[in-house]
Amino acid sequence: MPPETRDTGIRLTINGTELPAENGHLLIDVAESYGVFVPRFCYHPGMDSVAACRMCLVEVEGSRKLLPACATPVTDGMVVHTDSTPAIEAQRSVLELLLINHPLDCPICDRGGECPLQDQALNFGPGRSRYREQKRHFKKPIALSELVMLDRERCVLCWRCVRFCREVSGDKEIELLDRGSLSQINRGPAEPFDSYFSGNTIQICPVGALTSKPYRFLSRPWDLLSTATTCSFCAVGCPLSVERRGDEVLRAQALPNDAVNSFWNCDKGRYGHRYVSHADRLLAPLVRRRATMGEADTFEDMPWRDVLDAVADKLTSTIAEHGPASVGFIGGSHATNEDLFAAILLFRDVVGTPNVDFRTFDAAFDYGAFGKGGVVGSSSQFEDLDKAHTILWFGPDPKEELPVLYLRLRHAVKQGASLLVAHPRRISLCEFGTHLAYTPGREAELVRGLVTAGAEIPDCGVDRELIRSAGHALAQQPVVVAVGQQSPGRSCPGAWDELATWARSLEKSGRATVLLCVPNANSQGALDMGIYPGLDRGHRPAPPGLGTLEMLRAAVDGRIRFLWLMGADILSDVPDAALAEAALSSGAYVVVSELFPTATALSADVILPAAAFAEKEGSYTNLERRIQKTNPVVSAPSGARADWHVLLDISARLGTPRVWTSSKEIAAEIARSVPTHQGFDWELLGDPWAPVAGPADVPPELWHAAGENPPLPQYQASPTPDDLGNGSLRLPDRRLTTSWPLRWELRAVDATRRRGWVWPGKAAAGPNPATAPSTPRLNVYEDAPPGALFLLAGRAIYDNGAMVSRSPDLGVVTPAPFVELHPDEAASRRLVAGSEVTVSSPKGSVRVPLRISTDTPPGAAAVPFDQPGMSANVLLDSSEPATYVTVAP
Amino acid sequence: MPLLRLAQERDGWVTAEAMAEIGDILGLSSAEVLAVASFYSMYHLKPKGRHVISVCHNLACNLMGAERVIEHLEDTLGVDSEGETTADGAFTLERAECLAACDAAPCLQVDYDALHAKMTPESVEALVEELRT
Repeated sequence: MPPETRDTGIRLTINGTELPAENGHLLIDVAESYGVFVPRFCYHPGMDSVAACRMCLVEVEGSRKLLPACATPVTDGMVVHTDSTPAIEAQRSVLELLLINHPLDCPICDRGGECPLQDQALNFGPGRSRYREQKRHFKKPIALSELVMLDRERCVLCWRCVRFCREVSGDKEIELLDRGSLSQINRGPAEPFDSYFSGNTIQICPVGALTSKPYRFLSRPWDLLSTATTCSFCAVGCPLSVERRGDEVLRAQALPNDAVNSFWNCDKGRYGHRYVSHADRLLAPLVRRRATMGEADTFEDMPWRDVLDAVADKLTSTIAEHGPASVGFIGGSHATNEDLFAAILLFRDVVGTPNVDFRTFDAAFDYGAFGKGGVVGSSSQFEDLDKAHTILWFGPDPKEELPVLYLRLRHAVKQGASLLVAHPRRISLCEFGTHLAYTPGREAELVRGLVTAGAEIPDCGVDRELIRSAGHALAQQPVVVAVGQQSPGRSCPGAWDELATWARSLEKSGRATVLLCVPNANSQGALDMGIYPGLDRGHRPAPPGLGTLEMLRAAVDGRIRFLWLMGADILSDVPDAALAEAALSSGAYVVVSELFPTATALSADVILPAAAFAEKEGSYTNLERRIQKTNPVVSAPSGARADWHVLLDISARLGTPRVWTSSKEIAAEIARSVPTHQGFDWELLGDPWAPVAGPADVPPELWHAAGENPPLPQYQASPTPDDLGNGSLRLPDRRLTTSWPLRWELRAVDATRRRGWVWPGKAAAGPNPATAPSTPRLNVYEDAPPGALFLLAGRAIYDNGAMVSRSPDLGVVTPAPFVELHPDEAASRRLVAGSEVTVSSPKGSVRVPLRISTDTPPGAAAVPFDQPGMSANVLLDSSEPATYVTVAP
Repeated sequence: MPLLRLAQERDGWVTAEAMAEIGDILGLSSAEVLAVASFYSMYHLKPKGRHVISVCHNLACNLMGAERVIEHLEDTLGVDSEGETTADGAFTLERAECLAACDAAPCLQVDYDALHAKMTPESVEALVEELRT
């Protein structure tokens, strides 16, 4: 923030210069915002201060002792010296003390070269130690988990990792043990350190005590090239720094953005991206050769030019023979906006088919119901959660599906928001939210109860008083209503229509905002680009078309003759495996654009190798409609091509050539032709490497306002490839002592420059997008066959998806499949925990180990949606709003 | 903390299972329970012998020959005095801070209860024999 626009509540003097500041802000932050860096280990802006390390001691006039800057709020008239002799002496002795037990094994330490201890020892340390005795020894290193290694000898006991687990993630699996000189960080005897957020402890460790097991000894930090980009997994869209050596992605770290992820990301985002260099990658276009009787079909390599000709010919002949409506497009929730724009140009404009849909496992969820304001998407942003009075969560388990949003919800509750969790299972949020445990299948009844604030309460399994008090909480404002698919395959259009109407009416009166929890990195972008039946670019209405499930049914009937699947593994993702299989063997011509030879790809007629995340440039739109940039890190395999490129080539062969030669030009076209995206410009997406309160913010005369540092050992960092090569890291032209922390600890103090661009939500008000007519069936539960259990499927963070299953580091942490029953249901069937049981539905059956827990309500069976060895979609029947199963030994 | 004492009285030491159980009762992780248990020196996190011999090694006892007593016990039992337990599980030897019996230096305590005064290498060997039977 530029100084002249700051709230000049108070004035204080730092190192001889009087400066404006906001009352109550921490001295360490205020000083840093003016370019005066106070050394620190334990202080982290994303967590409460503990003043444990004593590194940030500064002199404050009038105080008899030195004060820790991280625990001292600024006050009016304060006179601070960070560079006086007492302050310097204190910093030197603290560093000497911290180094007493440190092994100084920097040459073999992963942290060497990006280590705050190393850097601060050189900048603020005494340079020599008077300690001659034996150092403390521990067995080193020990594995805290499959992802995190701990070297206790290097630890300076700053508590950052322990505080992260207590304050931020809530997974209190590591602690400070023992006492005095024997103090050590370690995990407890019972629980493993299997937090979904464990990798953050490595990133915030200011020494080399916590290191990443997959990344250990793979590279030195100065050999890595970092590229700022956006995570490709879920719809939260955490900014990432993806780092490569040569042409291989070696690691990813979270970049800070107050508006999106604060400082954190999940372990899937941190460890999951090495799938891009998996040996399974498709390297050339493949075309099916039908075999003669008795032999299996084979795939043949074919040059791109010939494949594109063949696909274009087939497309032309299909349109000629069966009409444009016989063509369908499914997928794209992981593709960029630019890819999707090219897809919609081809399918809606050139081919002229209305049958486009991005949904796969969420195929039964009616996003259109939430388009009553003209825009199918969130009106809320993540930051609204921090300010909300009441949050109604009517979505999936965010810890599994939208992990960093779970952290924000946890934070919001700590800030005082009351959280209502409507879910039939006891999900992660129930630990700090009020659980409205409705009977499975009775969404509609619960919604009725909530909407009428308890005046009318149909039986939904939730206590009347609880609904009344929930209704009371929802009458306060501001309210955020978060909605999303809870169980793949479950459809309850009546419930969503009513909830959406109610939420939108609250929204109109300014009392509430809606968070539409789409699942994947660019599901929202797909909605924006018109990859949804009845919805065109910019949320304008389009002629009614078929959705994913209807397209597959139409393929079985012979009405769809050409199907293009873009990164959509329908065999394992669509909540009806039998339907997907029938559609793929129906004789329709299937083109699959994929990274890997998935089962779906191997059933296709043509497989086109696609460029992956980290190999192409573009933008993703997250679930709060924030557009963020994704950037190329490594080069794509020589045979793989970006989807937009392929789609434009097909358009050209169908007689509509386009002159665009890069995704940037497509982005400009999006800004020109999509009404909601007017004004959209990649330049607006911000520079993720924008430094903290950089030179543009602080006028040059203030950089040196604090005076030169006293004669400390001058440490000149040698330029890293980052500084020179790809220009991705911009070091501000300031004293090194104030600029070097950027390398290891990018801060979010001034996050405005990397906020991305949130497009205006109300732009495209028009008629409601047409959706397929639906007949609400409210009383699904009464349809249950006797003895059958309502099937609750839920996606797990580490699943058997095409990307996660090919991430070399996540295989070890991916849980095995299971079915979970309430103890009463298990007892009545005489089933024992851990035994193999058969779960059967009219569609199929699976054999999995049994878990018994009260998390699952009576009358239901809970399964993960897609784990190695079991896909729940073989059980699901998409023609029914719910699936019932039996569980037997 | 009373639960930790209860567990130690039952099992002789605080087992990992006990910590997990205490965590379940109190809604804490086992890491948090261990953080408390490991902070205090009189919760034992390793198996203890049937008898715990704690020899004072503070100033008064030391001046009166506590080191000789400790060394003799270490030799007799074949363990160190940092809380090690004999192979047969009979004794655990540890050093204690002042037991408030400086007039009886050097002194030791058996099982945190019976105080034995004015120990010598000879009397401590007799004590071990007596406890063994």
